[in-house]
Amino acid sequence: MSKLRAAGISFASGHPTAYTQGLADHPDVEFVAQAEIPGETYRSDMAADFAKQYGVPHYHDYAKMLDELRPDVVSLCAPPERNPEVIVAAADRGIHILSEKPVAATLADAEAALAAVAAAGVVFSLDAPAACFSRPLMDAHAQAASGAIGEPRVAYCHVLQSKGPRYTYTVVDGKKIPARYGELQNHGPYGFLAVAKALGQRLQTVFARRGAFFYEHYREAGHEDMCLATCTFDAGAVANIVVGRTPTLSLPTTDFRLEVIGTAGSIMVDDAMGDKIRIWGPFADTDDPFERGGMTHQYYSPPITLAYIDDVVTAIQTGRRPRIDAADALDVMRFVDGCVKSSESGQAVRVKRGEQGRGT
Amino acid sequence: MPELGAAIVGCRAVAPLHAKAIANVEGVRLVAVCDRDEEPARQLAEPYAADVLSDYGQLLARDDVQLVHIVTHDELHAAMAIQAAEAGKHALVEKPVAMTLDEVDAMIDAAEAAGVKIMCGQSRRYKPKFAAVADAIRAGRIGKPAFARMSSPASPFWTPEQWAAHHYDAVRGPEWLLMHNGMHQFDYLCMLFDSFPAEVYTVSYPGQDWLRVHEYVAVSIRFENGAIALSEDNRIMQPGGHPFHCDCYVVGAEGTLDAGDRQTFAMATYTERGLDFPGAWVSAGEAEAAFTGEVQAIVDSIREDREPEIPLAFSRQVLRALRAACKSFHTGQNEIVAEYVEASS
Repeated sequence: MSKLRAAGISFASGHPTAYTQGLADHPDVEFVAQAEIPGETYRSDMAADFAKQYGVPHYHDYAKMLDELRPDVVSLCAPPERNPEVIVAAADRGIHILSEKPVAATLADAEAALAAVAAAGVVFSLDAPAACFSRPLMDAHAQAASGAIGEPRVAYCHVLQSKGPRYTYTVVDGKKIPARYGELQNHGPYGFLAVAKALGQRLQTVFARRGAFFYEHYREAGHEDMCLATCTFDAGAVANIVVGRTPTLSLPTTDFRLEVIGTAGSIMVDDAMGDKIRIWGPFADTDDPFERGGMTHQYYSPPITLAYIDDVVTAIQTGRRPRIDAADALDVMRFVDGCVKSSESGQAVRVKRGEQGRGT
Repeated sequence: MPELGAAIVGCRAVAPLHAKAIANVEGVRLVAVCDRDEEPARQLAEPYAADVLSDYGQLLARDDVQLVHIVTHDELHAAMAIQAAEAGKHALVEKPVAMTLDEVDAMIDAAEAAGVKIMCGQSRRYKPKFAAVADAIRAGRIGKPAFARMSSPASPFWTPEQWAAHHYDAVRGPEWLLMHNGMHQFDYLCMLFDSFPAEVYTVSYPGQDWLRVHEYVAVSIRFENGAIALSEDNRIMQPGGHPFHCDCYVVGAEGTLDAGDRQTFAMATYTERGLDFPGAWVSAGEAEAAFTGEVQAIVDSIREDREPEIPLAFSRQVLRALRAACKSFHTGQNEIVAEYVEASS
């Protein structure tokens, strides 16, 4: 099988050194170029160095690169406002896409971009591997899907990360400015996807309470550092998802917890348990769970990133869906958008589904 | 100070814990128990050589009873507490304090008129682990709390007959779980945040077809001081299938606190000083300690002639939030607690 020809587009947002580099280093991939989005200069010097490191050309206009090199797949690490134009441009050219989260700055923009993806029939995946690709979470999702705990009914997930205020600022032209988005868009995709994959159901309603409890500049920018989202799903399950940036430097990096309760047992994944998931039931005689080892659940760790990249590469090669597909990416946007609208209106928001809903 | 005579009305459920707690508190003695069914009453009374009665009026007429523990069905709490007050007896009332705000108001009036103490027994507060959590918060160990998750213990799964004995005559919904179990979470969160709920939004999972009571209910709360919280009550699980007993997770301005039952340690805090396990202990005997704590609280208020540690006015605020949460389930709306009024008012 010939290698996939891959290119990177933008270093202006997210984690290009994880995803673009992970793609570039994949054994089935030939990295052919790094490109910029005109006007997005943040970290362009890093992008240039990256191109130099891989011995590939550094384009200042991604469209020119797409037309000249026609890569098979691109890794997009741009601010959400700029994602849709690049996604549409790549999809229209039949190019597969890995995109940083979220897909777009607005739900309407995401719907339009992912409609182009659906029309073109290209593979699309979202850079949120921590939601699905750690060994404990893959085990948990597989166990839930297999019926090991009966019918999943209730889930709870929290994704709380410290290291503030380090990641609550963006550096533009050497100046610190408040990050473009709050923690809902940073960590919401992880919590939502971890829950949705465990429940195997589609989002129906969202109610959210947001607040800037710890960071004054978030408050001034209207961003949240904590969000509690209460969700219902189309087959009746309910879930609560908590995401946030805690102020202390001592919360060990990320505190991630997923609990799924079914009719015949329950599953827990918890950073405090290291590389374990615990599964209780069905109808066990004791409280002793059985534990399954695996990769430690840790954000941006190389094994998780590589598992994600490998999943997308395999999806492109075989024509199967990636583990996080366009429908998931759109539901992430529906979740984030629903949280914002709910907290603004003070009431629950019912998710509207169009062509990009279930099954796409 | 002469010894206080205590009595228990309603001899099932947690009545044995009340009896044990009375025995644990100095200066108070169980003198009588009362139940329409003789057998549970006899079993409860025997270890303490207490008298067995079947008539509540006769119990209240006894001169050797100064404090009545009301451990009957939820909908009887208010009326029996008022009867006790009118008979000049103090009362420790199992949760929920009452079913309606009007009932609590009548309890407050009755207690004031009779000059007696009435307190709702919120045993969660007095569980050593959760008392330690509250102490840690009050001591500022994690700074001002911004978010908390409280999830209830998963009680042993009940048979249809057991459920039938506790059903409210309500429409199918989460009221039972909210009123019977949720009051623990709400009361504790109010104490933890030193604030009352301003807004509540409720979702639930309906559960088995034969069960009118919803098996899971979650309430998203915004407190008057701006903090947010999640209260969960859960009876989904079959025997052996539930690991989640009672979780308390609090994020503060200066750290995070995790005190779930599932851990091998009792409580962990993450602060700038790092990970700490203050006051680690095993949880065996926590229920007895909790009930002893609440009995001690009302006995102290009686002896010192002061307001009980959990004033009825406080429990009224908690109940109001719970009733608003019940309403939220039916309306599907985020309910403003201050705007909640009883349908009959």
